[in-house]
Amino acid sequence: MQNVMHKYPEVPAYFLKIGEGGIFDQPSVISTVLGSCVTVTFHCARTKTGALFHAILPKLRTYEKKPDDVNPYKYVDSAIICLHRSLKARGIRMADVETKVFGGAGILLEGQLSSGQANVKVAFETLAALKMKVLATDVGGDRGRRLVFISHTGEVYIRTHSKNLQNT
Amino acid sequence: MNILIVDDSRSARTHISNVLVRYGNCDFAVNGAEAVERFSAALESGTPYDLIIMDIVMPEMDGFAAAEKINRIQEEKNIDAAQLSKMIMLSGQDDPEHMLKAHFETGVEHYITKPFEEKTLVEALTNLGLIEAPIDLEEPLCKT
Repeated sequence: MQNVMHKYPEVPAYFLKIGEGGIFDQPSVISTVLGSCVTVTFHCARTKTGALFHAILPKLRTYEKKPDDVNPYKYVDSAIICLHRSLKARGIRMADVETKVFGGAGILLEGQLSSGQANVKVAFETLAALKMKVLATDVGGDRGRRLVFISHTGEVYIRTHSKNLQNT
Repeated sequence: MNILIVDDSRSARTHISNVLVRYGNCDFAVNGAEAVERFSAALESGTPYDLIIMDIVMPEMDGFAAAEKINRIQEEKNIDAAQLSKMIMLSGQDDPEHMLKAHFETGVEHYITKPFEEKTLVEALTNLGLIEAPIDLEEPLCKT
């Protein structure tokens, strides 16, 4: 097993914090750590372009009165819409873009959505509304995830934390 | 690794087993009811499945009902968390309703949509901890 930096020695590495996101048109390795937050990765195999974000809350308009002044990557719906728009603006065909959804862990409560579940629900609904292809998902459960995204290949590797969210 | 592939489509079963046969022994079920029978028999014989690949839309019993029955059997048997069979739902249903039901009502954390590529299934096996990752995920990356 290789350290990721040994497998991709010339490739820059970034750590994605909450509320961050963006497009990577040069090969990059991006890692983040998710609890109830959600990351959606985007990959276009034709142009080897990758994109992702790390959002903490589901819907921008639920929380913000002036949506235009807000960091879009803080919210799941605005982050997806922002990256969809930015990829299209670069001439990337949405039919060539595949997405994967990660995170959304939380303690399930009888009869109500956990914050993780609410984030995942909005991610699925926003991607479906934009007719984006969801390739794979690794969401829910009660444990956090460490995620590594290889932007030019679209690979995503996850290590699930050994302790559940109540114990962290 | 013992693997159970549950799908009513022969071509899907063949496609999935062509990918997985290098990682273990593949058994097959053509609907949810047969999957529950095979799962119980394997558990009783002391050779439980490490991985179950579950379709959703199938005759007789669908994948959601089968997954719930399998979860209940494991709960009743008090199987240690580390020994529970891992499950991937692999379905042509790519709408939010099916995916949310799989994750938050059935408790399946891994979902792949059809048509799928080999690398997507292998990546899921890696992320379930069933095969070694090509990179070391424990090593911290430099933060730039």
